[in-house]
Amino acid sequence: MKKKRYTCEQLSEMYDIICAKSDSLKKLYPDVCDESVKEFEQIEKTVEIVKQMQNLSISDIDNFISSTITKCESSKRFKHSIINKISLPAAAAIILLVGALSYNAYNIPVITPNNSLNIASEVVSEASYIIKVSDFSDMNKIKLAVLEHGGVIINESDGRLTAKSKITNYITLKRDLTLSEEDKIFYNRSRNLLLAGSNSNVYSSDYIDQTIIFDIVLSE
Amino acid sequence: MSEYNEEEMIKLIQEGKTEYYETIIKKYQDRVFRYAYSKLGNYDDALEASQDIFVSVFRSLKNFRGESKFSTWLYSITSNYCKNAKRKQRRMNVVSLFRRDENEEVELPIIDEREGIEEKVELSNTFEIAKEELQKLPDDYREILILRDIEEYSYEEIADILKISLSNVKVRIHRGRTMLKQRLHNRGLL
Repeated sequence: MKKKRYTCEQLSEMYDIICAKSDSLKKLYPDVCDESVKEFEQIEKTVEIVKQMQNLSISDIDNFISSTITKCESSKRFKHSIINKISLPAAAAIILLVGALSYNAYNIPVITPNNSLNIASEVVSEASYIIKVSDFSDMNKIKLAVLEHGGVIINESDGRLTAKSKITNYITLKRDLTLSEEDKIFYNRSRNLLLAGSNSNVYSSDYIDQTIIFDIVLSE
Repeated sequence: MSEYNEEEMIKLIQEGKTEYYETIIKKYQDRVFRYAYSKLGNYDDALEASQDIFVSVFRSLKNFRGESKFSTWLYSITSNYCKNAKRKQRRMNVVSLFRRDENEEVELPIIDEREGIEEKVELSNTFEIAKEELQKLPDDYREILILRDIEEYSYEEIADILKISLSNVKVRIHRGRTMLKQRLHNRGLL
């Protein structure tokens, strides 16, 4: 019988078949030539070496599990405290309201998805953008935050830092300088939900991209 | 806890009986860790990634509708997470080794993460070479070898996880093995 030479791809496929049947190459493919047998053995050895990685494991499993569970539990508590205790439609309504109020507070126009009404237009018409911070002592930290959020510092005088940036950057800067960590998470979620549910038309991107001048002052 | 199968346990967790999540972690911790390790290449990053992945899966579990197997869904999340982490890792790698202090440049200490890894993972020489060569494979081939030859997923499951056709799975496995075979041969292991 003429011996057959198989391609490497065929041999690799044969390897899986042979493994599944726990059989030998020669038995299943009696026509295989010596060269192919050698190739096959190399594939077999390659897979065997790769399989050594199955021995990799986490060294301190107990600690890993307990700290992961703790993290999961803390995320669950947060979620429960905000969303899970109320029904989904009510949660969505509250998130929309909070989001709208947040934007209102930042003097950003909020257009509701249903009626396209700019409910904060009166605020925008006399817009003055101010971020009130509780601690003005570490000026470098505040300047760094402005720069990190894509802003440019225009002027610095006693108790007032004037800068300019796009409105989107102003929002995130204001959030970072004034909200607590938990508020930031909630704020992000509500903002994302608003944007996700907005069909991308809730906010005017033209407006969000506008550059504004704003002041950072010490809150009274 | 073991009186329930995995599907039932997932449903119980979704209904709020989160104590069953520990069993899920125990079942998959090593698989997730190994995958992350193969992708990220060091123990600490892989450990941190594994934890983040389990927390993320826990948070998203309410969205799991059981249309695919849980393990497939978990691996999709793991794969996406590791891709992002790898991207971040690459960005981190180009950080300057100098820090500007006042007007003086101060050299930052370089921490060799390979130091001490032997304490954490038992590595034979062959294993070390195989790990290195596996790391050097293109992403598509490395990933598929991890799923097939380390985690022993079926072709169908891999196709589901990677969102590619069954024939593509087979082709990639063959090519991946061939590439690795050649590399191991060049290193004198075959």
